[in-house]
Amino acid sequence: MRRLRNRLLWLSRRRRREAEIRAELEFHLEEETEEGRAAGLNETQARRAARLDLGNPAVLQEDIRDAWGWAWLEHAGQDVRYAGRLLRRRPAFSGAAILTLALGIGGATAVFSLYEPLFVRHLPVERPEEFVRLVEPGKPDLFREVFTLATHDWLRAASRTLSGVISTTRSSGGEITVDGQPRPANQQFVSDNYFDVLGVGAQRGRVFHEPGAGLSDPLEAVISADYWRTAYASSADAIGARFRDGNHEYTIVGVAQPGFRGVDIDVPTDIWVLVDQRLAPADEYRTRGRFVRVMGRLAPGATPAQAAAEVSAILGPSFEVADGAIGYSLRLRERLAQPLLLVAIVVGFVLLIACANLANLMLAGTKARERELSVRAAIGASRMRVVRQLVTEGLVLASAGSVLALGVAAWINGALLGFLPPEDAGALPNLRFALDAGVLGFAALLTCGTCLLFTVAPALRTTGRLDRTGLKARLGARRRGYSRPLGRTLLVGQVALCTALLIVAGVLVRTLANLRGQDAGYVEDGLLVADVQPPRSLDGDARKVLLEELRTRIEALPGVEVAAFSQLGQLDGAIVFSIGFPDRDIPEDELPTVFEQRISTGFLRAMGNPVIAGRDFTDDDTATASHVAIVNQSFARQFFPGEDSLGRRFYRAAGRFGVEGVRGSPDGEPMTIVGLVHDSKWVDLRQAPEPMYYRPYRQMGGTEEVRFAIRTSDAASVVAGEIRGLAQAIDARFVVENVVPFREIVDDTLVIERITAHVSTAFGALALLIAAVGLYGVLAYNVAQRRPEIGVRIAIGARPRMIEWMFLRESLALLGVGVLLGLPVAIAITRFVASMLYGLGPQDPASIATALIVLTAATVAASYLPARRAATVDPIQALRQE
Amino acid sequence: MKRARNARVELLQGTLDLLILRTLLFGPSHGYAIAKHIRRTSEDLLQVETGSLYPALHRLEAQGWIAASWATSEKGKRAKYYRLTAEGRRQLDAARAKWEAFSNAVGLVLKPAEGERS
Repeated sequence: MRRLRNRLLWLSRRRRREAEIRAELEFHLEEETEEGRAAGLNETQARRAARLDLGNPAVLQEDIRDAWGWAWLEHAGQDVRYAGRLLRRRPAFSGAAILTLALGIGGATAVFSLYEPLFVRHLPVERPEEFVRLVEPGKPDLFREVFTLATHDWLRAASRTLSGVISTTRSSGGEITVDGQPRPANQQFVSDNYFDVLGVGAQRGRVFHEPGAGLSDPLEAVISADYWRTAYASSADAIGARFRDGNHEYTIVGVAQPGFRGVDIDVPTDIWVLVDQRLAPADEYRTRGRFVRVMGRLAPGATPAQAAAEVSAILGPSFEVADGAIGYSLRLRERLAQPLLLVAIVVGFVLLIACANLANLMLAGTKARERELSVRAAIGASRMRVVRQLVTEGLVLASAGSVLALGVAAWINGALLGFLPPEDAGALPNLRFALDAGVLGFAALLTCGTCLLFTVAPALRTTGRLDRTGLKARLGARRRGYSRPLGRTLLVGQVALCTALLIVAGVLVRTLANLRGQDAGYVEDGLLVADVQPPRSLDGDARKVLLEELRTRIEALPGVEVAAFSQLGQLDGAIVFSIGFPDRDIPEDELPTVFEQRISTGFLRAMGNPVIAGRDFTDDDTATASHVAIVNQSFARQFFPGEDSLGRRFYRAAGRFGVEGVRGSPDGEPMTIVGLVHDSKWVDLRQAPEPMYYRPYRQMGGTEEVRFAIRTSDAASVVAGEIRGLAQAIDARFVVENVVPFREIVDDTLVIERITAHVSTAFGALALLIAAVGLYGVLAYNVAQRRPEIGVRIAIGARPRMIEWMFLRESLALLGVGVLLGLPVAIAITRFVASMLYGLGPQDPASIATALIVLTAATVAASYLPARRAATVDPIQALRQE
Repeated sequence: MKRARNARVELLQGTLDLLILRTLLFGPSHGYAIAKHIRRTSEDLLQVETGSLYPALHRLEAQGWIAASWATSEKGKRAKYYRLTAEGRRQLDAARAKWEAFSNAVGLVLKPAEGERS
């Protein structure tokens, strides 16, 4: 302790201690001189003897300083200052290096900042690593993590390995009414021990505790800190405030601790409500409805394996447990896993290319400093010392780059999140860029890693060839310092990585283009959509009348060509039913399933998918007229192959769980097919169209919401106002939302594709630029080095063309080798993400060809200037240099 | 100034520390005086090189075994005086014990056995 204190004190009084050392040695010198004089020597001799005894004062002072143990720090400080001076003298190089490093490190950090909250970050609860989730892997996606309340009750009562078992519904967006005004809020129903088991407390009021309050009046709710801030401006009035949800009245009893947003990453929860308060213990829905997730905290000493075994024993063999520390994320985790990985690979490549570039430039740059480094070696610097100096230069560059990188990362993170459609936007608070320990740590680690990558090898190379015995003549020292094999390897590596990147970018861009450009059975341009809800209090028939009224009025607007509506919007899904045929005898469990869609008159025209045979629905197809249907080509092909489907009949059998999980009712009456349309895509752009039939909206039960499709050349904002006005005029309780161009709906389904295409293109272009600049730099340097040689060649008769070609040939050779190495890497990556591609295979020739052309063009462009300069070398000048 | 070259003995770093600490047991002194004292007391056999002395002094100071302060010498000049600290005293005892054990051990090995020719 004392030792450290002394050393720290020493460090702090730098100037004074320098003076002290000098004074101390001076004193010693004087004493010895005096002694010499006392022994009989004269002043000069005595002084000389004393000096000889003292030895080299500089070395002595250095040794004394070393004794305090801070030598390494002082050296580091010197190195940093020196590096700073050096880099300031080469602003173009330094600037370019810092910029490329910033982009590379920033990109990687941005990817990390998205990856970490989704896949790594633990929930902000007490000891999150102790949590496990209940899962049933055999079930389809939707039900894998969702169970009945009875399951939760059972497990909670019987489990020994789990000290606490909680249940939660999916946090989902909804609407509550506060003081008569509707307000969006994400709600979650939870078990009474939710907060206790998680270890989350209240910052105001109280949270739920076990046992629950039972059916109090009004019911109790706990709100999140974020919601408290946005809805109540963090005021104390929030406690005791009331709101309505449907038919239930709630009062807020507390605000959860800051930073806690529930166990869902996708949708941060605003309001927590006890599930027991909505479902009494005896309610049969507890055993029938699967709608809660079940999580448990491991008891002290219990392992996940034990919990898994116990769960299987209690609930059944199909049940297992999974890690619960990272919370639930149904959509985002699955959707973003592969794209994030792809982006990570892309960014990683860019970073490697940048490092290779910098390494090459450092190699070339140190050649010019060979003299200086030789001097250092000559006066006693060890090889390690010089290497440390060079590495420090790299570190200064990398650090400057990493500071910028944080800003770049925030920007890229924001740009990527900007692609997310509104429905996923709720997750933003969890995903937004934040300068937390994880991000900073990652950036720092990456900085050191990249610095080492691009400084150590060149530094060792350069210092290994240093001439320590003196400064040899320049003749013959031409090729030293810049190691051609290493430089070439780096270039080849860069080209290989660029090849891979460009090919990957190519297939992703083509995928997006294919998805967008395909004939999906509708015409995108000039199409607007809107979500319309007729007044809820009306019954089905009354709603149908109002909707029809609205439709006619909208169609009557100037500028509107066609107005129509469908039950679900195009690309939003369709409902699945089984059908049967009156003239065919098919057993009930083998009935085929098809999509059904209820549409108004004019819908097919509005979507740009006109009837190709037979007729469209008309106003005559009322509820009392005979039941008709229009089918698509897939339907006709599957059920009436080779025949005319018009006039044929089929009926709808019992409904099954469809895409939206809606149960349909049996409908016995057969429908007659009156029209045929082209296939169109209803679920998503990748899936092939399914057999489907359309029914007139008037002939079916009314629904709560419809999606209007309006063909117009006017802008959405204009039309939105007009529609709302019309709706209000008909009935003030109409709700009109989300009036957007249909293109936006399409874009929202293509989020992943857009992200990956844009990112890979942007970074691919960046990588190409970096590599091209690197190639140019190295070539220019090479030409300068070989000027004497070129001069000789020209002097003995070589033509300029030949010189040009000589250098160009080298570049093309590097390109060739690089491409050969990069192709397998590219194919490996595209194979790995083959599931993300559409309309092309992993070895898409068009993408490969394009990438090669672009690379060749870039190589030639980068090599052109240096090659030309080589050709215009004046032989006499060059030889004089010799 | 003559030097007894033939009797120069090489000092190990640890030994130099021991000598310095021992010297300071008599009282505080500056670097030059310490060197002179060691030389005199060892009858000119141990000549501490300045190049080793001062780094050793500073190292000991860094470790907290000796403490330094500036004072005026008997001749009226300002000099840096070192003195032993409590910790230094303890280290001196320990080092001395180790040295004696070491020299005993070497002596035992070197001592001629009964009947062996020396």
